Amino acid sequence: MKRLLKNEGFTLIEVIMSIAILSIVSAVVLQLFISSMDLNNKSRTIDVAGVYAANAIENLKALTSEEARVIKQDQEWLYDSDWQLINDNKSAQFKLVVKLRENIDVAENFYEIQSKMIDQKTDEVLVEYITGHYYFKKE
Amino acid sequence: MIRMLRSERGSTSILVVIFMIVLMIFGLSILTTSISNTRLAEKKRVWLSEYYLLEGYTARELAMLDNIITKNKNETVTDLENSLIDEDARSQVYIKKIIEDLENQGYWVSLLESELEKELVVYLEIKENDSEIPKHLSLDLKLIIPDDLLSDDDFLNNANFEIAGHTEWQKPFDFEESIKFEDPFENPFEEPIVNE
Amino acid sequence: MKSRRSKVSIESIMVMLLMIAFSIAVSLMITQGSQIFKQSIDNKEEDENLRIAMSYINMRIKQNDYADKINLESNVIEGLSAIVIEHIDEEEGFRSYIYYDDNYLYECYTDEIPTKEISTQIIDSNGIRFEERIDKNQLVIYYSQRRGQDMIELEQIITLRSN
Repeated sequence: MKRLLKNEGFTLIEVIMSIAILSIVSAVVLQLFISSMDLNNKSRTIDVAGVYAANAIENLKALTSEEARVIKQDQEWLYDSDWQLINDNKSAQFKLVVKLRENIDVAENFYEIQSKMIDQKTDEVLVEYITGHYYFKKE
Repeated sequence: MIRMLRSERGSTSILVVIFMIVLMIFGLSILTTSISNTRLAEKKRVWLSEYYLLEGYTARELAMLDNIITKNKNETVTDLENSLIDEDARSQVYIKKIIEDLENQGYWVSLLESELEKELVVYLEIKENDSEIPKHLSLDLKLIIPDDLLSDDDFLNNANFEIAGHTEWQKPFDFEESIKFEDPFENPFEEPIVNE
Repeated sequence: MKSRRSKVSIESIMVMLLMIAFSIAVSLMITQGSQIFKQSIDNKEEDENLRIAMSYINMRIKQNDYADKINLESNVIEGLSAIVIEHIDEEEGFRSYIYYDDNYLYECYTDEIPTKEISTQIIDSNGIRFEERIDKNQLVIYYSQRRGQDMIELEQIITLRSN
């Protein structure tokens, strides 16, 4: 009987310590959550960037030898953060650079192709594909 | 000692520790998931990069082959002009020449003859060098044999080959450390011992 | 009789308010945390599904790229259009039909008329659409992705290397 009426409760110091510990731990854990969202976004970006870079290469491989000869300069495309094509260099998030270079030492009509997707804001190369193509004569 | 255990003081701390552990588990699990996602994306990127590199080497081989074919075509025309060869049919001369030249250089060539037409096929296989499971690119090229009725200029300007097949393959992963079980039915035809 | 006035110091009230504030904060944190968790897992699953679908279609095409053997045909199974891959050599006579129906990517590998019953489910996906550019010898595949509230399409171009 006496025990029930003893009314032992939490001491204040206990409560304060637990609040302190919990807040520190939750801050750390929430940071983990945020990092995981960032990582997910990064992996999605790398995937989509790879697809755009590969598309550029595939389009180059579909050309004829005359069309390939016409492309002298490097081609550039600018994308915003939603992967829409834009023209403005300042607000662009991603830039796709495609280079086509003829290597006569190997053969005439042999081109080396380099396709690179760069993150403008961090100046980081997201995806880079290097390949070659031989534009042989077709019937 | 028992009184300390019964006194239930500081039970908040235990609750706090348990709560902490649960939170950490959640945080770590979601982080592991995201890291694996990033790693898979990276793997895909690396695979495609190596594939395109391999295609680059293939294009180089194609270019060299094209040079050989063009050279042989030129030689065929000049040989026939200078009447160094007895045979009339230009395509016959060309086929013989090209098969000999390609086989000397180590290419795999095969001539398929049917009543209607002849088919000259070259098979190329390019393999990755430094990889555990190397990628292979197999090219099936059909060499075009121009008609005898064409002029010499048309013969030379005609297309050299067609890509009949451009396939990529990899040997499936071989599990080296596979578990081997003893065969319980090792001697299926052994007569069972019957106790009389 | 004196009315009992319990002495309640302001300090205790403040401490209790602090406790209440803390509990509200913790519950908010838990709700938001669970939302982030769910969102993260959903994103990761969608990413993986996209990667698997893209990878599968690419592999099928790259491993069977022979001249005139890969085509896009409409009205193949139940009115759906599909990528038709004709096999050669050991698998002569067999065809692979890759199509999308009702949130799933299917493949039917058979030498008879293709039906849905003998198809296998590859992976679930939000939406896949095929297109053929014959003049350039290209197959274009559009993958629908969720971006915020609406869906956008990711375009992937595959140039067939064989003539």
